[in-house]
Amino acid sequence: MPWLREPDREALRQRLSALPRDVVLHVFTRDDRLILPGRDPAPLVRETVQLMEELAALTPRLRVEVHDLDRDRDAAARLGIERAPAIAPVADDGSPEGWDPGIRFYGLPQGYEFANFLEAVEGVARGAADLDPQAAQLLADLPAPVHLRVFVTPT
Amino acid sequence: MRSAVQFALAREDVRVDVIEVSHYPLLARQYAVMAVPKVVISDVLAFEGALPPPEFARALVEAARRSVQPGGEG
Repeated sequence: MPWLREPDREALRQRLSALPRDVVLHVFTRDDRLILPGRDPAPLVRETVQLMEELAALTPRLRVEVHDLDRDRDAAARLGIERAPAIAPVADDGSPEGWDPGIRFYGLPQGYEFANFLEAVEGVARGAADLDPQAAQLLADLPAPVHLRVFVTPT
Repeated sequence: MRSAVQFALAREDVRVDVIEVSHYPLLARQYAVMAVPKVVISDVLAFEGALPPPEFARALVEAARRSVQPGGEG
């Protein structure tokens, strides 16, 4: 059963056709039958791949690359992925590695987070932020790199 | 959260993980997530709920400062 409903598909198709650059959605999966103590299982990996493929089917601007976290260690190391499911949107800027702003979505982006995810993909394609000017000015003096973890729920 | 993604788009020195709590319960427990959204910055500063972008940016600057001064308040 598809994730995206037909009326949403058309709206998404129009929105995604406006992407100014190609974006690769690197999707990391893991064998979800493997349960290890002390590690979160990998729920909804298939669903995450399916949702990304449904999105990519709407526009030639999006391409999905699926990586098995336990087998494709090179891609996981390059993109800094330690868990699955994970999605890393990387823009095609003509360079071999592409433009990777370091945005990772861990888990299936649903509900409100789907809107956030789409906006992130649009930002990656654009290669620029839509940032509050005061915040931009404050961040100009950032004394060290930072790593944000934002915990969310679908609603 | 919108601001976090925009910060990462704006700055090479900002990276962001958006983590779906229901898929990562152990990680959420490790970071003591009681309410969402919860933001943890470089493991030295955390807040719950949404902040206006300038206050969020100030929190990033403060966390970056603490992360390079381990003897500080953090």
